[in-house]
Amino acid sequence: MTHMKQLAGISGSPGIAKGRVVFYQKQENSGQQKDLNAAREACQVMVRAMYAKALKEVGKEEAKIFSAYEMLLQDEVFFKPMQERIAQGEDPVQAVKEEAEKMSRVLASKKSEYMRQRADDIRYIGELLIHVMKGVDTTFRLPEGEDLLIIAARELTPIDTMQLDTSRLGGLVTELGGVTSHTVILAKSLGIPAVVGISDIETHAAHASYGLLNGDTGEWILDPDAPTLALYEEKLKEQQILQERIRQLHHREARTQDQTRISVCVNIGAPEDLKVVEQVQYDGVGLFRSEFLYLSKSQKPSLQIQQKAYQQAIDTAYPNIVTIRTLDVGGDKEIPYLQMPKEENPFLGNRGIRLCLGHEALFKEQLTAILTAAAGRPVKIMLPMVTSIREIQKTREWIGEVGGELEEQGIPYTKDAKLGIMIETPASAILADTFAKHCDFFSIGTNDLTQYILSADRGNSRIQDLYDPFHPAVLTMIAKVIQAGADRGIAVSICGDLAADTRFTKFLLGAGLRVFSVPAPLVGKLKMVIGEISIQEAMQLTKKALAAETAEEIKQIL
Amino acid sequence: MLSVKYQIKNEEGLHARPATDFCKTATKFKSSVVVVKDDEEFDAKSILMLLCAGAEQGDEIEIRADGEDEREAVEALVQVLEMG
Repeated sequence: MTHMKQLAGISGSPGIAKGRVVFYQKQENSGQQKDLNAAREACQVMVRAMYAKALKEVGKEEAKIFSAYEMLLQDEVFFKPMQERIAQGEDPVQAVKEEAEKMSRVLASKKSEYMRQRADDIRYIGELLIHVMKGVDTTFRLPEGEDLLIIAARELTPIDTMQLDTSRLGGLVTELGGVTSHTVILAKSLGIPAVVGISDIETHAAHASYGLLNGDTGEWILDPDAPTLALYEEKLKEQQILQERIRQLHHREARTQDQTRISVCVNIGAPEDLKVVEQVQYDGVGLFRSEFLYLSKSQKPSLQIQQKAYQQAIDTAYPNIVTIRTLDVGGDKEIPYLQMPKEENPFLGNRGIRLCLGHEALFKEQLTAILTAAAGRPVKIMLPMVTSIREIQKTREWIGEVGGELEEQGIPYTKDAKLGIMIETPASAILADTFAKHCDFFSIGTNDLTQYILSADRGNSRIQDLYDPFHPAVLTMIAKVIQAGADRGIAVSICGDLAADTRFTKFLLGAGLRVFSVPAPLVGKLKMVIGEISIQEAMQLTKKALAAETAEEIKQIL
Repeated sequence: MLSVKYQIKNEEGLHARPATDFCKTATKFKSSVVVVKDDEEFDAKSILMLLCAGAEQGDEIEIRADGEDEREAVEALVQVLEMG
């Protein structure tokens, strides 16, 4: 009887798996040998097949790596030095090995993480070529049976991973390869738990028959004893039930236990972020941060580039409506073409709407891009860092002017643009009732609002405990803003971290919030939590929480 | 020979997908195509060379094409970068 062994690795892909442990080792059956050119051709056929398989099983994004491999196999610069050395009579395998390693080292020395990973890819392709040249059968045959397996390997290349029969894959555990490696990304897409960074993996795998893998904690347990096994069986069952529930909820609208319909929107930083929610029901884009367009090093984005980005998001989300937040930067970020001087206090400085109103041409160009990108469709424009009504009025004037010019030039643009503000300054929160008369919607930016109300920089580790969203001042203010919106009949949403933090969901529903905007991957979980809450109970909880005097008391109540 | 200077606007610079698209397009033309960065020439028909060039957002590169379809090549490549 072998003893249970618990090993600690690094979490790669979440989830729990159990199954027979199999050590991945390529069979060294020698077949027919090939010269470099024939091997190159055979490898191209192989990676094209991989591409097709990956496309079908994991998706377009993940399949791209195989199309990159194909390009590498077509690259003359890669093959020329090998061919020259072989022509001079050198050993072909040695020539391929050394040249691939040389090229791999060049890229490994680059500073970008992306290039360093390409160094691994070049090494993989070199190895693949050598295997094919030697006639080594590179496929790994899984043991007979239908049970799920935990595959342990020194290293798995994307090619290795794709060659495995995915229906038998319970989990992956490797010694090499980082958490951002393609293999981990593939595992995530396949929904398979993965752990990396287990040293001396071959010895461990050789002595074990059965294993448990915890992709959440990075634990790998070999030959578990009965209590541990029972514990994992339980976890596995919970995981399956939870996943099933979240999966079902993805397609459904969010409703509370008592059937109140709640809107769950998504926050995005670029149009591509919407890919995650392709198969998911959501109620709009509550926050599209436009900063990514501006953080270029030396020049402002052209009108066309902005239009293209906004239009892509608007088209993808349609019929859901996209809320675009106008440029939100300040002295803490450097944008050379804006000539932003360093400020003593950038978070209380020239940022957000203040900065935009000081750059008329730049801001009007953004407004033009939004209005034209949304031609024929509704769109929402949201202003950051607002502290006075004048800022809303001025923007509305400019939107009118931009619209007038487009009308004159006969350029199509949307006539259905709603104008709203982020509630993230104490001034806008205190005067929410007044501000509500001047705009079409509110979205509470809880991160900045919390730090401004508590006068505590959330990036300063020495006062981290002072930045506390449970503070009664913060929650009282949020409840007041939600109430002001309801009184004036305008929509109020929350797009800050608080919306996604499920410890606050019940409180927020009780305060009357009906629109949440969260990062796309969190939509399912939020819907699940909402489904467990009844509005009646939530209102009682909120009332109790708002009567509390300290953050600690509120924490207890929530 | 035809050459044009271009400043990389794309956030990812000239790697990953943009490099793949750029290389694929360059290969379609008969002309020789090189990317010049910091006075160094890189073969645009080689994905490896493009990666080695390591052009980042904000960097200025020169696209140089030489051959019968040099004009079309340069135009197509600028367009690839613009689409970024």
